[in-house]
Amino acid sequence: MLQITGFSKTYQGRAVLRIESFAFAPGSYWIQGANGSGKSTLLQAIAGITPFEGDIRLAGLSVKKQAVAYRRLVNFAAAEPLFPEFLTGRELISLFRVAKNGPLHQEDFYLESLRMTAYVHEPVGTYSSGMLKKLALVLAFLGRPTCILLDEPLTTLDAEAVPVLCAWMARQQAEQGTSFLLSSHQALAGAALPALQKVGIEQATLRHLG
Amino acid sequence: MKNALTRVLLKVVARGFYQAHTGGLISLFLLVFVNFFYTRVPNQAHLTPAQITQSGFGLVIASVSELLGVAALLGIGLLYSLKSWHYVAGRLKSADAQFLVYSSTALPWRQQLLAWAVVQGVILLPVSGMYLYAMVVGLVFHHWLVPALLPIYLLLLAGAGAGYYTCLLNATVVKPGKVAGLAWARHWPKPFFSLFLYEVIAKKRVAYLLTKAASVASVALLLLAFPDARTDVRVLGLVALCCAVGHSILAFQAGEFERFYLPFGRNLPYGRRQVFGQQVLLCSMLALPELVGLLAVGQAGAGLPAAGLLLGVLLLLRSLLYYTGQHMATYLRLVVGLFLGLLLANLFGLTALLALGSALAAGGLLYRYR
Repeated sequence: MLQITGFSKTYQGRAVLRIESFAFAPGSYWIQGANGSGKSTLLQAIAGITPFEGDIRLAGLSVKKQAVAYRRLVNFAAAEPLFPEFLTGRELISLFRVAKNGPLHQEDFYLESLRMTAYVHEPVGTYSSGMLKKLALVLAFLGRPTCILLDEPLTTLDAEAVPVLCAWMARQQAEQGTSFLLSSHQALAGAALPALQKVGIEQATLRHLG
Repeated sequence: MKNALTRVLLKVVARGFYQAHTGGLISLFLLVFVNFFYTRVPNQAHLTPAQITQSGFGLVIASVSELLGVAALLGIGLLYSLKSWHYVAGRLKSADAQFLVYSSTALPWRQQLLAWAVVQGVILLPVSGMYLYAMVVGLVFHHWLVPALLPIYLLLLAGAGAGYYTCLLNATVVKPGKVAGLAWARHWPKPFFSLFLYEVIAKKRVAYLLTKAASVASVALLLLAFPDARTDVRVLGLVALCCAVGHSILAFQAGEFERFYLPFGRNLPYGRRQVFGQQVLLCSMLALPELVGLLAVGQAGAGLPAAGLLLGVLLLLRSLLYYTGQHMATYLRLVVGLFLGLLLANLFGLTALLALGSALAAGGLLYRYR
């Protein structure tokens, strides 16, 4: 599903992550690692947000060579989402849904299940960090993604929202075969959650964990 | 300087102020202050050296001896202070400065005021330099009163700024923060390219108005200097270059906005041509009054290449930021270098070629970046 080749990411000349070759088969993955180990960097590179050396391919599409087609298949939710504060949640949803080629009213299910309909028309500058996080998660599920990347999805999320997110993931995987890569320092337990395979970042590279 | 709060405030506020305003300060220095320091007037062979000196220092002497000059000198200090207060008040509302609300306010008021006074003093350095010069020249030419009062005026400005910032941070009952919601534009379409335009309307109105004022000033000066050459492509090319340089700070702010608020844009499936098209639309909208003005004055023959040059250079400035990063000093060096190089080439009437070359270079840089 996802193939990483000759990957290298440096900050100010210091290599923070090097992956010679790594393949993710379809499924759900929990990326583990200490603070600063490069989990967010890896997810951002896979999302096509941060530049890097090497190549990443999803279903044969290269993030560098077939960037548009690739980006249509990969969605991303940042750990600490930040959006222009004058935009409303609705406007951001429209922007993402159109760009990601999602069907009309696709967002309704997500907004209702996370009880966001009351405030989604307000400018995001009025949102709390938890509300922003929920909006970022909704945006990550729009379109028809083959792979969804969730960076610290549980941070700032209220207790009621966690099982809802797990249910979304299970539904998405069952209905569309979407794969998930997520990083989290909190345990992701839940009956509805798809079986998670663990991968870890140790000594600046990626490894499968038991 | 030993005060921990002063050190933090200098890094968080004063450094940010200079990073945000270096371009404006340099432009102001080149346009206004150089003449203030010493005015060179050609053909003064009939004057004695003493008269030439007196005439060269005419402006600065007037600023400490004549009512209008003193008012202008004090007014510059006041306007500069007001701009700095506006900036700092905005900075204190930003998310990464919120820690000051629950840390610095635990210190005694006197300590807070002193720290802020030092910061405001550092922010006022360009004005202090100008005032010091006026004081020295004033004293040399035997004008005592105003030079003696200028340090007190500077202390008052620094003190007023310190008091304002301290009050802002310590206000225990504050009105709810005004969110830049742009309620009137709620039903307006907001395509991706236009987001920075809305940001300008919401938060960067002062920067936009200053940019437009600089454009108007440069257009007026050049058209007054060359009244019979309004259809000369070289003159309109020069106007276009001045306007493009005037927009360099807005281009920098557009890059900053993209970096902070729109990193998700790189995950959206926009192709390279589409992204370039978005940049063309954004730059065209930012410089719309100038583009229309150039086309109206010069029409197709001279106006079109000049408008193309303005748009091309603006696109190039925007694309260069992808390679330099948001480093104001590096960026400004490039802006000045680019301006001088294009200015020389424009003198040979290569305006249309420069417009095409700038746009192509911008496209090439963007293509490689994406």
